[in-house]
Amino acid sequence: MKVTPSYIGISRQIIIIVLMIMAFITVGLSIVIGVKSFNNLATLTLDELGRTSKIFSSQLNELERNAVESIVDIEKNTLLLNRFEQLTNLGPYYFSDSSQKDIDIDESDKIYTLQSQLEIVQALRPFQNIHQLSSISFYYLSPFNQLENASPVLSLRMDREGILVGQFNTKGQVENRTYHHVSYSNYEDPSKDFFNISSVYELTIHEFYRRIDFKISSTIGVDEIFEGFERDDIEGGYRIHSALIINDGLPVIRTLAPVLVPVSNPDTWEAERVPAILMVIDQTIDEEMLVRLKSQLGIDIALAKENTILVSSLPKNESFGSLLDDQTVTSSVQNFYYSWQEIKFGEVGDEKFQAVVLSPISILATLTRGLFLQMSLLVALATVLSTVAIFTAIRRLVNKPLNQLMDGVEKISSGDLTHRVQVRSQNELGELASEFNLMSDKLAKKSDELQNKIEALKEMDKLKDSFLANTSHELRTPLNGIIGIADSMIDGAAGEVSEVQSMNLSMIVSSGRRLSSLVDDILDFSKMRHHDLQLMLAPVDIKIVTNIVLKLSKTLVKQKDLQLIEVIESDLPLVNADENRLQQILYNLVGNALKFTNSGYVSISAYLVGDQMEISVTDSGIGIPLDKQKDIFDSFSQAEDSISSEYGGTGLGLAVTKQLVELHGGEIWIKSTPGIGSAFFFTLPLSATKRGDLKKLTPAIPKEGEKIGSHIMVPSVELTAPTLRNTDVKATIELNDGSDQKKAFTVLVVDDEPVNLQVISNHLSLHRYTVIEAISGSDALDIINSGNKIDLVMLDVMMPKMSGFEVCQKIREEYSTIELPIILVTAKNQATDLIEGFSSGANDYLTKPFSKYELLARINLHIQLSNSSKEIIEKERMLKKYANNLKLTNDELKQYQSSLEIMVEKRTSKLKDAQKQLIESEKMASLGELVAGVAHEINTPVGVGVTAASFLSDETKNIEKKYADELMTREDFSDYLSCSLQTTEMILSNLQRATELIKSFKKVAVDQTAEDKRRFFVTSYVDEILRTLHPRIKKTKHNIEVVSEEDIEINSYPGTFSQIITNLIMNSIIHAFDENDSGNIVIDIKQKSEGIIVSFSDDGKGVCKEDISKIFDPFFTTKRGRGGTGLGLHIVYNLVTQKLKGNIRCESELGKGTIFYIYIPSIVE
Amino acid sequence: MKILMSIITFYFVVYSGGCEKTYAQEIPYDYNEIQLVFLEQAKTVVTMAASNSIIRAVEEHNSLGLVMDEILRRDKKWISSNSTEEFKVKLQENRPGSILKSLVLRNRAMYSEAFLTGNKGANVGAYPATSDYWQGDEEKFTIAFNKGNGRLIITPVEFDKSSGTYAAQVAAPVVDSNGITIGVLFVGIKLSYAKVK
Repeated sequence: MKVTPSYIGISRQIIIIVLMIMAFITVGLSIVIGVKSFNNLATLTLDELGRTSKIFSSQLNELERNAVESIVDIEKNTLLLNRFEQLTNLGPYYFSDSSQKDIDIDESDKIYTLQSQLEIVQALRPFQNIHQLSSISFYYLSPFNQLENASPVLSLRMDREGILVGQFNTKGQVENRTYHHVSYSNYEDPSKDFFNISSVYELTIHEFYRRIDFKISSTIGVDEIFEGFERDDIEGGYRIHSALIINDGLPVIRTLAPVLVPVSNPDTWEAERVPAILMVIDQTIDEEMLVRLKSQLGIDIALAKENTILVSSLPKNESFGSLLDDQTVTSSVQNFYYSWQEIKFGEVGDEKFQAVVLSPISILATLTRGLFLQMSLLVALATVLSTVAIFTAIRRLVNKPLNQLMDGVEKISSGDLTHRVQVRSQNELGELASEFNLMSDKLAKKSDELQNKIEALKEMDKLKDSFLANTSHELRTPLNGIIGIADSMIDGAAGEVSEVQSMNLSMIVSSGRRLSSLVDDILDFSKMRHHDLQLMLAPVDIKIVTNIVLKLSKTLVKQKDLQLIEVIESDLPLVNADENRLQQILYNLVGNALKFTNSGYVSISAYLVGDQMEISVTDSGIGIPLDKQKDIFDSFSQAEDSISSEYGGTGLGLAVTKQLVELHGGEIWIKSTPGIGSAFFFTLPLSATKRGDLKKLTPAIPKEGEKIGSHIMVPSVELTAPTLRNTDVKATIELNDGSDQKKAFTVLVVDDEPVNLQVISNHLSLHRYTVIEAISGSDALDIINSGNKIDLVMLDVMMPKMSGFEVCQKIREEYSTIELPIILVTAKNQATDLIEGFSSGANDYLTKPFSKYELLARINLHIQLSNSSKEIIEKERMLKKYANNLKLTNDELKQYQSSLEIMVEKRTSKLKDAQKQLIESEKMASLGELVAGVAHEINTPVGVGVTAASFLSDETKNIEKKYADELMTREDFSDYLSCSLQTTEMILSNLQRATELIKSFKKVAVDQTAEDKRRFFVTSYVDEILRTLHPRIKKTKHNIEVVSEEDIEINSYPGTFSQIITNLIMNSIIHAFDENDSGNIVIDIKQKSEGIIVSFSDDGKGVCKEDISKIFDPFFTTKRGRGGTGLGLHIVYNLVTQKLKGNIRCESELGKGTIFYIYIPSIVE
Repeated sequence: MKILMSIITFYFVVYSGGCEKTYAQEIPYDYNEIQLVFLEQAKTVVTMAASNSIIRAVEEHNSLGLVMDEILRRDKKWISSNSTEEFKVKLQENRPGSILKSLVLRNRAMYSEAFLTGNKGANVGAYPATSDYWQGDEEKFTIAFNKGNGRLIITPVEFDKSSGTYAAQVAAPVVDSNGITIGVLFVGIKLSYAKVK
């Protein structure tokens, strides 16, 4: 995943958003919760208070029920009932029995009464304590009106203070009652003996009082004890009922219950069960009681009446205001929330009491704060947890599929079109992934289609290439004819010509040469553009080359007032350059300078700058504007369009120059001021060779009409006294000088083109050659067989019916190379042709167009060689003759011998030279093979580029015209823009393609010429060699396979290795198979100890046993005269054993094939 | 003879109170339940009979050694006199008389009468005043006293003229420290009380 500084993961972005949302939610929730929780808590509290008040109310009800329960329990107690019976029955009968009237009540009965009452107290005490009763009182109700004014008469009251018991002092008066009071602090339980009925008589009243410690109080009536006691309540019936009343300022739950007792009816004396006693139980709701209840409820409580608090569980000094409607009440100390419940006990009373529950507001606030804090923490925790959950979810749902998609995109963009994304999620990303896969499928399909189209285009390119090559060939031939015939006419081949005629002919020659040069220039340019041009690098003296160029350029000065100046020191180091190409560079620059300079000077200077030579060509011409300078080296570019019309030129010159300089590994640049002049600078690498070593080698000074560089044609008209240096040329001179015989040699010229025949014939006939012309191969063979003495055959290769090679082979069947030298003539500058030519038995090769001097020199050389050889043979024969037949003296013999040795030595050296030349030719042929192949591949893109550029130029002119005429519409301009864009893209893509092609060829070709040692991978290199040979191999039906387990790297001579493989392949193609055979060639490469074993095998004809031992001998060939030179394998043997320090052997079986085993050490010393 | 007399007396009582008997018969009750209340009350009577005050009073009375003639003379006199007769009041105000009086008055709803006899059946104390002074001729005394080997009896419910109510009498023997029955305590228990209970 590419990470740029601004890159933020989608998951992180989402998380940030989510976090922000969560933060907002958290804050919002906290506030809402804070307010809500307070309100809720308040509501809750009030609800709770409401509930508590109900509980409180029910507690009060419980108290009432306790009282009722007490009554029920009391009524069930037999002892108590008995005592009630006795007490009830005793008193009244005293009053109703007339016999007892006005008699004091019996002492024993008094005691008995008190005893009974105390006994009752004893029995009731547990009830009082258990049921929290404030007091229990009993009233005598006088059921049968035994007493007058029978209002209820209290006879017993038990409260928290103590006990109050009453008795009648005398009979007959209700009012005379005595109440005895005993406080609990003084009270002692009566002993059991004390209550023994029989022991009553043993006690006196006095004794009794003394024991119990009664205090006699004043008479107390009911009203005095109970405030608000209603008689109706008391006599209300035989049922229990309760009421809440205010007694002595305090609320009291009062429970009334009449007790049914068996009483003797005074009228009948019969016992009846009647309500004779009223039992009254009080439960006072005082502070103490409320505190006790509070301890059960855990909250402050109070009892109120009419919204006014009567009593509360709070300390007495905290006085309350009235209960407010908003359920708050204020005390003297603090504020409370309250809730109340109305208390209902039966239907008695109009007063409404309220059971109130109180909660201080401050407690609620504290609780709210605590709750708020807890809730906030909870929300925060939830936020964190949900964030983590969301993060995990996003990682799983979004990130992972996205990463897979991104990987997919990277893989697709890096070319892996088969890659598919595996995202199975059922969401948009899943959709995206499946769409992506669909897109990949389509892309792969489109890519395949594109590839097919490219292949088709390549095929068309090749067709165009061959078309261009053929066309140029076709152009050259007539050009050659024009130039040659005109030239020979100037020389007088067609008789004397007048001065005017000569001038016109010269113009034809120079125009023809210019046209030829232009054709070559264009081909050269395209070659260079595709780095297809091979340099013959050698140590070169820049000063000498400069002088040659300046000398040649003098003719261009014409009538201009110009000086050509050379400023170069003579002791400068040598540069590493292709001499011809360097001449071409300088000639182009000087030519360019001369073209734009009308007066002043053009100078060439050279300086040593660092480890490079900097050469400059300066002129005093019109100069180049700054804005044009950067485009000056572009092809078809001239500073201004007007310039091309004024000064002429194709615009290719400087582009070619730049390419050439860069091919040398140098740079070129310009400094120019308009109106003052221009200076072109370029650099060249220095040569490793010292100046002193170069002495032997002197650069060739071009002869008249000879080409220097590539296509600089030295104008023959101006040329004076050519400097001769070539030994062969010298020989010619010698021959010329030494022989007066004119037309001494006969040359058979074979060409189907009459013009060509005429050209050669014209040139040769001007010298000492007799020319026989033949217009076909069969014609030529007839002439030879008819017994004409022919010294040399010039054979055109391209002829209908019978090719030059075939003719050559036929001739070689009867004549050896010494007997009849053959020079092949062709326009095709192709290595395969050369090889085929030599293998057919040709002695030499001439490429059209050739100069007449080259023609003459070659012919001369071969005739001489042939004659010398013949002479030697003749002399040997003579020597043998002399030795055998004539008894010569030793001296004579020695003389002959020495003369013979000298002769042999001379001839041998000549032969060696010839052989050397042949080997060099072989190498060049191999190189040529490559060059030719590359030319094929590259012509097309350049051709397309040129066509496109021309089209663009036309379009530009059109639009310019429209613009100038003000006819241009917006659509026109838009069309032009899109058209120019497409065209430019076409040019660019073609040039790029050409560049790529050249790169691959360059490597092999450079290696072949450079002969440097370096590290390289063998298998890859073999592949590249096969690629360069592809044009040749594809003519055959053979299949070449390279087998290698790994690409082994060795440190050796790649050029040598390339030549070995090339030769072996060519050997197989030529020797192992017939022309229409289809065979297999396998190149197997294996690692072996400290080197590699290359097994080169074919399944061709094979070699017979006798020939295997001779297979590496020089000039051994099974195809002599049919394409074999006999040098290919010899060269392979020498290269393997000497250059690469390896070894080679051959195994073969007739009819099955041949295999070469080559061992090459990994590191060559 | 005595037995015959008792039976006659019994029948007489029953017969003479014919109209009352008819009245009494009009009061229906569950005999068994009533009997339980009587038995409960009989315990109180027995307890009372065993109290020292009662035993001492009977012993003092027996030690007087009243002969039968004297007893019969007092009985005639008792029957002929009214209730305010000093002789009768004295027997209510002596020690055993006041105990019995207090007992009856405290339990007015329960008891109709109470009286105590010596070993010959003569009254020692009584409240209210009984109709006869001498009880020795009545079968309930002879059965309860049983010639010094006394036993508890509960008589059938009968109308009591002195109190004007229907009641059953519980006769409990008064036994001295030697275990000899020296007298009998009679307590009348109201039928109405028993019914209320």
